[in-house]
Amino acid sequence: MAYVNKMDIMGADFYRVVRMMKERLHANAVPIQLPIGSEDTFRGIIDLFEMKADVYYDELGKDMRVEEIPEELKAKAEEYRSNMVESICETDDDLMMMYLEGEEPSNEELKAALRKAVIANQIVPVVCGTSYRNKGVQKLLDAVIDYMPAPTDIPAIKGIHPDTGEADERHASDTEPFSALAFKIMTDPFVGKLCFFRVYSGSVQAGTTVYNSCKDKNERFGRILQMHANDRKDIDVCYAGDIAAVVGVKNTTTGDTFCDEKYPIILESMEFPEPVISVAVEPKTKAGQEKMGIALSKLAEEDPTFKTYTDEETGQTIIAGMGELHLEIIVDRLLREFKVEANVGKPQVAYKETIRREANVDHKYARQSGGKGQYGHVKIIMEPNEPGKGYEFINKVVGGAIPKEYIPCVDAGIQAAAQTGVLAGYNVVDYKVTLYDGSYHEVDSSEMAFKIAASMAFKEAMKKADPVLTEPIVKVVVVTPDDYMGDVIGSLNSRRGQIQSMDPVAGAQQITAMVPLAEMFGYATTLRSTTQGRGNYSMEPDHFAEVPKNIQEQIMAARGKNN
Amino acid sequence: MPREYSLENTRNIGIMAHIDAGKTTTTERILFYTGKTHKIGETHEGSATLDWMELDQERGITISSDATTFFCSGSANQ
Repeated sequence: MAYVNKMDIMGADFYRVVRMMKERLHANAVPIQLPIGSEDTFRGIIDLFEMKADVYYDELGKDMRVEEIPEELKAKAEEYRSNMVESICETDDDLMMMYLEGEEPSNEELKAALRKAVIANQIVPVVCGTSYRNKGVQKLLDAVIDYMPAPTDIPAIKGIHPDTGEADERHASDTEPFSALAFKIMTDPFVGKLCFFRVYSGSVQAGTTVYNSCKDKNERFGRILQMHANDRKDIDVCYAGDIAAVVGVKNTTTGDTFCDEKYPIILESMEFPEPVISVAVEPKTKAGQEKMGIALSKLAEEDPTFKTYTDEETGQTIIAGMGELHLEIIVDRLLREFKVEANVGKPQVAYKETIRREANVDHKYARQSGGKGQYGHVKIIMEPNEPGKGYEFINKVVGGAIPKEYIPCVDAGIQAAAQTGVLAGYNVVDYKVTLYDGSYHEVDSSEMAFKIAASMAFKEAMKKADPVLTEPIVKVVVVTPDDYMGDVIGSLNSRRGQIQSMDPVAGAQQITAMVPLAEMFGYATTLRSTTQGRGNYSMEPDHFAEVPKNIQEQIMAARGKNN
Repeated sequence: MPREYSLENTRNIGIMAHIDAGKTTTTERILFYTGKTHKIGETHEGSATLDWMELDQERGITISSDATTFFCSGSANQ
């Protein structure tokens, strides 16, 4: 369901939001309330079921009186009520019959049908209010209870058996075998590592041992805590549907499944986006090096979108994340929570490399001049994979041309080589390699020999396969007063941006553009000075796109100098 | 210990919206109206309940996701 907040703010327009939900999000948005007044005259809400107005008479939202709908809004309320009734009836055959026969179903019947439709994701009910001015939140809570699903209302959670890979499921019930998903790890200065989990079925008691099916390890649930922000309360047991935290798990990371060892299952995990921006950090003091390493790995455990690693070429510690602000906060937390002072380098964009053509390579690696030699021989086809698909390895060797035990080494050799692409040393992504033939030597072949042969074959194939650099593109939304629109568009264009749309919003323009992330550094300052501080923007990673030829050359030249 | 509140009356809800849309503000009101807190916290005063990290309070933004439990009169909710 949707809650239209900030009805008291300048430019608030409930009906426009509902229209945009339909047009942009393709949601079947159905208002079940209407606002009375808007902007600074917003003073209450019309309930379209009861056809009454809830008007607020104080600032705290305690003095709320149910009144008749104001005269000027009566027609509008009638119109929206009949829309709502029609939308609900469309989702239910029995009500549809009644409706077509000209009979209006009762509020109870309508609410029951709406609840079903919301749970089935057919209708998105829309309510409104202003949290800051304490209006509408109670009605929002009522709607949550009336229309949102209880854990028993939604289909059973799906998962797979860890050994057989067979599909399995768990119903939300205390009597089913225990299953839970670890959705968050937090390092607490007092109790250590806390792991938040949501129980999907069964129950778990403090002091028992449960099985982490993703890591194939047992975890002791010493203490179970019910969390309220940074307060915690010990509880003995938690049941299906509960959200709680456990202290002291060792091997669990975000997205793992806890379950009963006798009934193992792996629930679907979340997917995390790849980092798009990285900076080098170094501790201000020598002594800080070790402390920083520990602190960064703790932060990385908490936040799955944050990664840290050592650049093999320069030996620098690199931190990578979702944006400038994200990394700024990480560095700030290093200082505050872990007392590590760090210098931060210039942000680097996480470019990737990929290929555009198919290439066929036959590569033999042989060193056979006396003594134990080396022999590995592979024939591979390298071809582009769909964007976002990642890496795929297909083994089509028949008749034992390469013995089975060497096949995984070929795979490993390719993956190792793909860490540093042939263009500028960035990760290679979105390609498929098919190993279709090769040969071996009784004495001289070894795992190492095939690994080397495979990585050399990969480099050769990539050079032939029309390699290209890709860069993260972000979707930028700028809101600026009309006067500065030209300047803002100009500055986006000069940053290689492509304007997608321009929409007027209450005396301002909203500009949406796709801009390479590399061009967005320091944009906050530029925007502030072009709009005299009145414009603001937000951005989010959208996709990866090929880097234009001239810029690709610059990047390669710069990387070449460093190497 | 038997279950205190029935599963049918449980709602697990998440709030998701654009930056600055008022997620924390709305959450504060929910906690207040359900009696979980006795004073409404404000993000700009640095007193929001779920913005307990120092950094949250200084910047007026919420950094980490958090969990909490509250009960509504008539039915129990999570």
